[in-house]
Parts: sequence; C-alpha cells; structure tokens
Amino acid sequence: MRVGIPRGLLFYRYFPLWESFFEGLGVEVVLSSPTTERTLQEGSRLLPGDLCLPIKIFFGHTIEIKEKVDFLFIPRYIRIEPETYMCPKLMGLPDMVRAVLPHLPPLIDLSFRCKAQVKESERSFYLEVGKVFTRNKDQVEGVYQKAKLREDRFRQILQMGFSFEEAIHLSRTELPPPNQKKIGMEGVGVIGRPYYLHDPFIRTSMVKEVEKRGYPLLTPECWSERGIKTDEKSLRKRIYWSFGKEMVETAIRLSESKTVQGIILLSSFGCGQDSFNVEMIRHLIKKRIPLLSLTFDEHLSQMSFSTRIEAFLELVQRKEAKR
Amino acid sequence: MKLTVPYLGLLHKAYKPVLEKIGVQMVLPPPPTKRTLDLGTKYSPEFACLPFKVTLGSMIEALELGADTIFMPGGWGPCRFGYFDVIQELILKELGYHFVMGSANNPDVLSDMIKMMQSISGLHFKTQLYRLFFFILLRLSFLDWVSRRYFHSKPYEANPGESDRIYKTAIEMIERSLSLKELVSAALKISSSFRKMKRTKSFTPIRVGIVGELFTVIEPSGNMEIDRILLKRGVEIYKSIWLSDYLNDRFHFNPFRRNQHRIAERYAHPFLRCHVGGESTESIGKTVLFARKGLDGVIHVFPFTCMPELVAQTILTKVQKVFDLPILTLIFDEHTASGGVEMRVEAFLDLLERRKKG
Repeated sequence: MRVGIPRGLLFYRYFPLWESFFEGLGVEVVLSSPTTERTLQEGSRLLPGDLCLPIKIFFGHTIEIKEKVDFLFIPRYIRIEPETYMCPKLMGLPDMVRAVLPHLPPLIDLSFRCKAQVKESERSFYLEVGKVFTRNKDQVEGVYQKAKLREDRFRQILQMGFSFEEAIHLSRTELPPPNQKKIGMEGVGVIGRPYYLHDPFIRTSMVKEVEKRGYPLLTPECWSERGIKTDEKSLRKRIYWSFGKEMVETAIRLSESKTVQGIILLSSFGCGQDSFNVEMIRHLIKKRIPLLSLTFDEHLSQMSFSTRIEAFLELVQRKEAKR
Repeated sequence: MKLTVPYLGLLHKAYKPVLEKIGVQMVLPPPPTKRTLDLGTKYSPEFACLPFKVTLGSMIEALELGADTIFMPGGWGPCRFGYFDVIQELILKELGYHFVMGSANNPDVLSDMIKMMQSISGLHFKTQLYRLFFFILLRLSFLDWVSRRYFHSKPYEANPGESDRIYKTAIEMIERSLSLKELVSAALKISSSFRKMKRTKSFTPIRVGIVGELFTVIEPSGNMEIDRILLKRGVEIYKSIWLSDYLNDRFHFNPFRRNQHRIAERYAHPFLRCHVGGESTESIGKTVLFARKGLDGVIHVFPFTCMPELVAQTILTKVQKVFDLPILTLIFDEHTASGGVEMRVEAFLDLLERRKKG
C-alpha cells in the first residue's frame, strides 16, 4: 500500500507527523521531489492564471506522483486552531484537485476542523485517517502518539534555527536533539507562511541573499511561545486566519524584541489574506523596526530580490550604526 | 449623527426612507463613479479586492459631504469581508478623518444586528427595533422581487421601453411605501402592471445566468453594469444570488422564499463538499442548477484576488465540461474598462446565439 503526499502547502507544517503516522501503520509514503521550475510549469498548465503560486506548485507535485500511488493524502484543513479559518483555497483543495486532474487514485480528503479541545480533535482526525488502512484502533492510537512525539521533536529542532530539511532529518532519530542552538535570537526576521519559507524554490532566491551577508534568518517557527493577543494590541477584532494570526503575532514579537534588526515580509502575488495582513502588520509595528515587504510570483528571479534586499540590509546596518 | 452606508445594489433604497422617517440623518455619497474607484484604489492595499476599494472610495466621498458615522457590516468568515471595517477604519483614520465606524460584530446573528439598529436609530424598545429591521428586509426583498420580474419580462416586451417604465415606477412606489399595508398594495399594483404588459409570443430569448461574488453580481459599479449590456441585447438574466436571499437565509423573514443557500449546497455537493466562504457554494450550485434548467450560458463574475471565487472558478472548469455549458469568466479590478467588458460579453452572446441556432 502506498500513499502519496505532494510536497506543497501544509506538507511544510505537518510532514514529520504524517510520515511517522503512515510508516507506523505500515504504509509506504511516496513523496514528490523538491520543487523545481518544471513542477511549477506542470501545475500552472491546468489552472486558472489568477491562482497563487503555492497552489500551482502543489498541483505540480500532485501531477508528479498521482499515478504512482494507491492513495493521495490531501486532507481538507478547515481550521488548525479553534475559531480560525485556513485560506479558502486550502479549504477547497481536494475539490479543486478532483475537478482539475484526471486519472486520480482515491483521495484521503477527511476534514480537519479544530474544536476548542485542540488535542482531542486532532486525535480523532488521525483515528479517522487510520481507519482507511486498518481496523485495529489500538494500533492507530499507538502510532499516532508516537508520531506526535516525532512532531514535538521536529518543532524543537526548528526552534533551534535548523532548516526544514535538517529538522526533518534530525527528528527521524530517537536521539535527543543536539544541544547547542544554531542561532541566537538576533538577525533579520522573515515572516511568511510555512509554504513560502520552506519551499526551496521560493526560498533560495531570497534566503541566500540575506544569509550571504551574515544575517541569520528567523522564521515564525523560531519563536517558541505564542500567545500575544492581537486584539489587545489596538486591533478592534481578533484575526480569524490561522497563518495571518501567526504572521501578525510574530511581527509584533519581533518588533518588540531588542535584538531583531529588521523584518522581511514575504507574500505571494494576488494573495487575498496577505494583502490585509501586511496592512495590519504595518499599522501595528508603527515604524519601530525597518520593514521590507516582498511579493513574489511565477517569474521570481534572484536578481529582482537581491537588489531590494541589499538596499534593505544597508538600511538596517545604518540604523544599527546609529544606535 | 450623520450616517452613511456604502452602496450595495438596491440596499440604500430599502433603508433610507425608513430611517429618515424616524429621524436618522443620512448622507448618501453620489453613486460610485470613476473618481470613487480612483480614491479607493489610491489608499487601499494593492491586492485588496474591488469591493473594498469601491466602498472605501464611497466612504471618503461621504466623509467629504459631512458624514460622521459609517456603518459597515463585519463578519467572521474565511473571506476578507470581515476585516473590511477594521482596515478601512485604519486607513481613514490615518488620512485624518474623524468619524465613528459602526459594525455589527457578527452580522449573521439577529441580536447583533438589532444592537446595531439600536445604535443607528436611537430607538429603545426591542419590539420597535425588530419591526424596523424586518420591515427594511421586507422592503429589500420586494425590491429584489421587482428586479427579478423586470429581468424576466424585459426580453419579451412588445413595445420597447414599456418594462423599463414599469420597473422605474415600481421602484419608486416601493421606495415611497412606509408601512406594510402600503407595501403590499404597491406590490399588487406592480404585479398587475407587469402582467398587463404586452408580450411578444413565440419568442425565446437567450438566457444567461450571472453567478459569482455578491458585490460584483448585484452592484452595478462592481460589474461595469453588466445587466445593462445584457438587457440591451435582449437577454433574459438569472442571478445566482440576491441580497434579500442572502439575508433571508440568515434571518428567515420571508416565509415564501426557500433557503437559497441550502438549494445551492445540494446542487454543488458533487463538486464542492465544503463551503469555502464567500459565495463559492452559490456560484457552483447555481451554475449546476442553471445548466439543468437549460440556460444557454453562464457568466461568472468576481473581483481580482477573490479567494473563494478562485476556488469556484477552478471547479467550474469541470462543471463546464460535465454539462457542456459555456461559461465566461469576468474578473474585475480597477483597471477593467467597460469597453473591454462589453466586447467580451457581446462575443460570448454571439457564441451562444450560434450554438442555439444549430
């Protein structure tokens, strides 16, 4: 039995959990290869042009593996924490896949709708997924608990500043994670959705530019504690998008910490939610810290980013020198 | 207090006379024009959707005319509409305007809407507030009913311009009716004048459905007056969503109208198994319904970067194949020119005509 996981969107948040869950059930996990130019081309061929880049990339990955597997795992994530929503495009993802792609294997498209009891609703979701493969409830339960441990380990390693790939690799072993932190909490913060920040195709063009100049990168996952209430911070309404909330909270946290020198906001062309998130972040951090907002699309090239990032880092440096 | 509410289809005709009668001062900006959109675009985030920009422009124009209270319903959906009031308030305050932004915290809940009505009208008694609110909703549903009658009689009229005259007087009559009794008698008169209208026999017009995002479907400034273009060509229009239906699905004030969202949900289910916010379910469900009804084509309209409708657009590519139904997608933003829209619609109608002939 083989289950296919496209390397896109929520892969970049939940993969360690998914992988050890399926492997524990004795199911072989088939992953698509990392994103390249070709993935994007394959994906955008069938889709309306106005959809955002991550969705197109996701479809490219799905096309790559759909004929090699018995099941495709494309769950419908409606809310990943209580009282928030995912992007509508993620909520309709299995339906879009079904509408656009021919010759599909059966989809595992169970809905995940997080209720007030976060742990309980996640557990029951994975028990449902497990039912597809086995009737043995106790086995699924055990496998899920193990997978959950793996995910915790993965998060800890991410918070130390290791990259996504390194964290996946390191969390595979049962050994306790390496002790020393790779980075301190200083440098330039990059804020964006996990599927922008960890996708090598989107990432390389930008991250290298920053790291080349000796600034460590901080992603939202580097920050262990959450829990800034955005509505207490002068917004009239709490934010009802999961990733939007995460981005705004991280931005506030970064702007309040003394060690972070600048923030780079990464958003996709035509992203409906980010158009508002960027506006809110701009308002909430109130020029306390230099802010660069970058928008990428299909035609992203290293050159276009490097000029702007260079100029931004110079600004950061000059501000640092003044202090 | 000088209250203003951004335009949304015929909504202003429903609430304005009623609120003015009980002494609420209203400032209505001029109907949205190019200037409105330019103003809105100038101060909006780049990828905000057209409804956001148009309503922001309308707010600025109303504030220039002396309004000091803006009402903008909020929401908690996955769609961006729930944040309109928050972001617009940020932007307008940054521009230096002084005003109060009123919004219903949760517009799907009746008690919140009543609280909102209380803050607007200044009435104290709950019964009065409920009566006021439901009366406005009823007026709106009559206005929408008149529009529907108009769309279904205009292509058949024997004397050109007759239905336009009836429509115009009908809207005025409903606008003037300030009690339930007047409203019902006006409706009876309107109904009979539509019935008496002379019709051409043995003629089947092209029938086109308009589906898509609420604002774009019903507000002429959001869709480059697509209704007018279609009516001019003698097309019978079916719309996927009406504001009164949208509200009726939530507040159930009209016992004679079925829950349209539920109908759409049933037809959309084979293609979309979860409501993804906005009017995505209506767009897909009603397209399927229109295809079953034998309509000649469907026009899918939505603003650029609208998230739920992008999902619908992707799925409609499949619906199009399954039902062999031509679908024209029109995406509106501040750069859309009316000439371009007109040309594309006319080309689409030519295609439908040719398909129909043979």
